[in-house]
Amino acid sequence: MLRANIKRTRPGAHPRRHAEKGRARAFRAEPDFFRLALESLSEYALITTDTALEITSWSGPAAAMFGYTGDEILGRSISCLFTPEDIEQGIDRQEFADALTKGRRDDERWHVRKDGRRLWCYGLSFPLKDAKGGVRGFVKLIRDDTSRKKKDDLLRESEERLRLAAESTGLGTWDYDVARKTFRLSERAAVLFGQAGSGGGFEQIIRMVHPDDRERITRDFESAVAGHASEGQDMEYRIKAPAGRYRWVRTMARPYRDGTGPVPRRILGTVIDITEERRKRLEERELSQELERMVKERTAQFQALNKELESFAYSASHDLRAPLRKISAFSEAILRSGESALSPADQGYFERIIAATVKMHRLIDDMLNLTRVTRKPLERVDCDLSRIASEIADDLRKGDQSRQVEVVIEDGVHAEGDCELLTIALRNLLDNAWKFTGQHPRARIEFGARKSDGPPVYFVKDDGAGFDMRFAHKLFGAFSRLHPEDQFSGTGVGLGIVERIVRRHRGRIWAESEVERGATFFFTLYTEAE
Amino acid sequence: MSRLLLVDDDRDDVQLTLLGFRDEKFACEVSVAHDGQEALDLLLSAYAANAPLPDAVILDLKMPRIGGLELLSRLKSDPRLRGIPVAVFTSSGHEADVTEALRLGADRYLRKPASLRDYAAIVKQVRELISVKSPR
Repeated sequence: MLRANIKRTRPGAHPRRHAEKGRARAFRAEPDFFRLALESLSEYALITTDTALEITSWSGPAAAMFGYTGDEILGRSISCLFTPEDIEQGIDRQEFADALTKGRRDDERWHVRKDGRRLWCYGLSFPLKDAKGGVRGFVKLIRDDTSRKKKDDLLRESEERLRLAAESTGLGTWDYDVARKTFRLSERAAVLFGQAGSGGGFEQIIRMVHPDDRERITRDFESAVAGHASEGQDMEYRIKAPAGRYRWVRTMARPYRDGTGPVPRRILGTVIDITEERRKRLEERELSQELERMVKERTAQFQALNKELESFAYSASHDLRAPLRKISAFSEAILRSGESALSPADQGYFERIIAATVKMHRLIDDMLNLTRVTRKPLERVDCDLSRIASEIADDLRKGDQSRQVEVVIEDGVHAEGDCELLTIALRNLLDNAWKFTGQHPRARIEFGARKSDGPPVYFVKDDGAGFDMRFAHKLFGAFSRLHPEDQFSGTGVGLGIVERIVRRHRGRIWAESEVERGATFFFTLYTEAE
Repeated sequence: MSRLLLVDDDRDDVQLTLLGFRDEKFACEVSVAHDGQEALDLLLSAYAANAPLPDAVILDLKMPRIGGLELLSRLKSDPRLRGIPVAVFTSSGHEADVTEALRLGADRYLRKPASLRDYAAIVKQVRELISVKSPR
């Protein structure tokens, strides 16, 4: 075996070839130059051995890195810097054997400090030859990369974790290098894109995309690469699966720029198979269409039923009215023809029969009005409420000229709605005001609209009997009354009709009152949700 | 004296109408048919015999065999009979009935009153109807 002692080697002591002259001169001129240069490279430990791998020189950084002083280590085998596992496998000797045969050898591995701690190092070994080419020993340069490795490991670990998380949800990840025009694909992304692995360009991927989707995807991809898609793009398209069938995938792409311009440096993205999701979406759409169809069908059934009910109400009321009419008319006939034959009590009974039939007639009429108001197709045009109210007031005055009622109607009150229904509503409200002021010698009835910030609030105000606000909730129920019938006649349907009309106009109705101090009815139109 | 043809299957209503007319001292000669078919037979045989036709036909809507609306349409489409004024006289206030009757050419649409007193208005309408009757 060759033995050499580098420390004692003097370049000048060897015969020089002409070509080596300059280098040799430099050594001679500044004997410490290289040593100083290497010592100042604190990141690199410089170690030399003889051919038996015994350490022949030990730089300052080497001492700092491994914890041995020169005295402690010189003459020992360099193997003491290797881990027991590596020594057992002969890696230490192999390294130098390789360096010898190949001229150099570098690698990364664990080394051991004097205190037993391990360092992850980059190492470069090469043989040290004399001028004649004879091997004098070896040089090993070592850089401690432990902290970088720790960082790398952490990064790799987190990347791995991310990859696992992504792959476990079936999500593939990809990274497009805009300059190199190549994709780096995760395992899952490669499968979804139908690629053998990373390194392919867009052309390789677009080849797998369904022909009908190619143009769209190419356009989107090119716009992303050109930097037009500032926030990234989500795309859905079909791509050929290994079995030859197309599957739907969704890719999301986010551009990454280096800050020098709009063109991204990289585009990062994900890809996921959404075939199943789309199938479910389609099923849901079918389901909702089915539901819609069912709702339509039921609505039609309901409307038919409603119509049937309405026509039943009409014919029932017709059939009810006929016998009623006969009862009252024949009672009248008896009263007229046999006045002398009837006792006053009997005459009174017949009069009560007639009054009862009149009342029942009115109930039937109101019942019909109520259904009519609910069923009539709604128009929406401009209605001159002031004019309508004036006409109603004229009718009321003509109907009872003995009353002293001041009717004040604000000019120019208009509303959009169904004029016929709004007329019925106003008539009922004004009728009511007229009726409930009947027991006051003088009365005042007012119609108008209050306009503050919001939509107008129409009102009908009187100074009549009013009502107890505790029962206000019963005002608008059909056939419900707040006053005894012998005081104020009526079926109790009028306000029910008004309420239905207002409700059909998506409005709101309410009232304010105090007993014997009048009542005000307010309503709005088209203010409530459908 | 006016001649009227009253077409109504309800004998009570026929009697009430006659009572109402009497109360209002409406001097008229009232023939009664109990359905549309009977009315048509009466009118056409009168026409054939060159006997005088009624001054007005007063007809109910709901009747067996030929109902009021059908009778109305037949009267108004028959050149021999279309000159006779027709008043529909019914208890139905159904909008569809009213519009259909007027469409078919009814000259009046009258509701059967619940009180004998209200026959005054009915008689007034019938009198008007007769006075403006179109020539045969």
